[in-house]
Amino acid sequence: MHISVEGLTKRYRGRTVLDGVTFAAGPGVTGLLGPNGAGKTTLLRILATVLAPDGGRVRLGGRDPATPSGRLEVRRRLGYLPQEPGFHRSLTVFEFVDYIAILKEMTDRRARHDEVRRVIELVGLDRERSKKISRLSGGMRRRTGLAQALLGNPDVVILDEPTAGLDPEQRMRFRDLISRVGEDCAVLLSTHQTEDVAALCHRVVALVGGRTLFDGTPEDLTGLAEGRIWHSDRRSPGATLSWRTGDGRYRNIGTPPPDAELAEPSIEDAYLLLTGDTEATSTRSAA
Amino acid sequence: MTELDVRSHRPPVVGRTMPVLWPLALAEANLLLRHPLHLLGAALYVFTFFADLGGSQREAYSWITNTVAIVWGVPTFFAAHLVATAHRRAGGDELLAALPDERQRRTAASLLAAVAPFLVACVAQAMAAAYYALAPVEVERFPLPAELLAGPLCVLGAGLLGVMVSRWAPWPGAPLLAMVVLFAFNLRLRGDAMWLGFYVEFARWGPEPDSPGGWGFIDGSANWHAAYLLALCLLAGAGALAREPRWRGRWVGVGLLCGVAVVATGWAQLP
Repeated sequence: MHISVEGLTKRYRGRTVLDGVTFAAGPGVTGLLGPNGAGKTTLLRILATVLAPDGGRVRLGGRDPATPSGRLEVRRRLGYLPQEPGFHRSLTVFEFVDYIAILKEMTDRRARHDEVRRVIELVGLDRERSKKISRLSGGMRRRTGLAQALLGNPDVVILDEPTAGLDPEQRMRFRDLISRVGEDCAVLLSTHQTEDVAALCHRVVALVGGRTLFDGTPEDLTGLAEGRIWHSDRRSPGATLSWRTGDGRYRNIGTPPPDAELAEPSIEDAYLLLTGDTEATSTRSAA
Repeated sequence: MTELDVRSHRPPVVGRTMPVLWPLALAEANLLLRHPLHLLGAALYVFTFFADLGGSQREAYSWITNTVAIVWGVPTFFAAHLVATAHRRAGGDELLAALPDERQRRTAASLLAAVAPFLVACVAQAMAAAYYALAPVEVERFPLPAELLAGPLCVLGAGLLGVMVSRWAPWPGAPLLAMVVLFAFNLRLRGDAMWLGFYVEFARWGPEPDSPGGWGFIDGSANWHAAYLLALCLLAGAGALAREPRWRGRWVGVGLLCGVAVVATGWAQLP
């Protein structure tokens, strides 16, 4: 199943949140990068059929969520983890996932319970499945949220900042999980974490100010910073961003001076360059 | 952009052989039955039962015919409201909005779930009635089936009303306000109009100026009162379902029919 978005627009109280967003995503993990207020969550809500767009076209698996029948079909094939899933805290992990399974139209009790056990095991919460959600750590709650998103083997999984607030070990566990999920279906992963994108995604879409600023592979994104990262002993005046590293030298992003000591760019450098570069207002497609 | 291929989706892991409504109603009923406020209501009922043991025949009659409405019905109303708004209060609306099930069906499931406390109250009431039928405490006049049913019907109505208020006024404080209005309405009813309240004393054991027949068993139809309470229950259910824009016309129509039934049975029960 594929995600296809074309010329998507959304306005809130006269403010344009999404302005002609266009991209496509197929099987595997696609990263959605962007600063706060870039429109990532709004875009994901539209794709999850929670919000209706003001303009443009969305297709999930060729189905149009703008029509009632298309929306129902999309919802049947979708797994969605919002930024704030809103757990019913008096429920146990099993009860919560089971409740969502019922709402996903899994009505056969035995088969549903098998499926609930499967996804709970998949996210590594089988030992905590009888624990109340209110007693779980933040990472475990996130995994509970992911478990409900994986119910019924969805074709598209949309994850809104699933690693936010997690410690490094939990993030690694999440990466492992998401990469396994991405082997079977299309995963759209919204995140601030460029390392997650570099580690997980075969494709990146960067949203800035409600526009698609980049759509390509992580390598292509990193390539944007080629020749624009350099080291120096002092803060360089030509740098858009500059910071002192552990070895006492400065790492600079921007337009280097002619004799600059160029450095190997990282995906984070490219992302910072992309979001910080005022000249980069038009879509760069490396696809 | 070219139209992308559509990969044929995997068959669903579990079948959709049954309507979602029933398992959802069971899940909601489970939440409602074990809600602390509902458990408190049931515990209060048991407590007052034992506290009234050994009382007079007249006290026994009064206990069995009108205790349930207050001690079990009121907590059930709040419990039903809290259970029906639990996901919203937890911020789960966004997650639920992306699921194939519809909000109207969730409302219907919550309404069906309200039958669970009613059934439990019926069983409890039957057990209490059996005790009074067999125990040495002989009730002056054994309560009529409709008199025994009035209390559990109040529990049912409380659950349905709790769901209705949760749909129209899901914010904090709304159920308390609704309960204050209900109590104020009930307290203002005097004389024959007393039958229009949710809390009805089928007998009074002392001379009271407002009592239509002085004291003793009060004139009026307990059967019609039970039908009146049932009509109010159905009205609350239709009111809850009318909240969803889809099918609103249908449920407003059903609500109007229920309203007619409320007026007719309300009038028929009066002495």
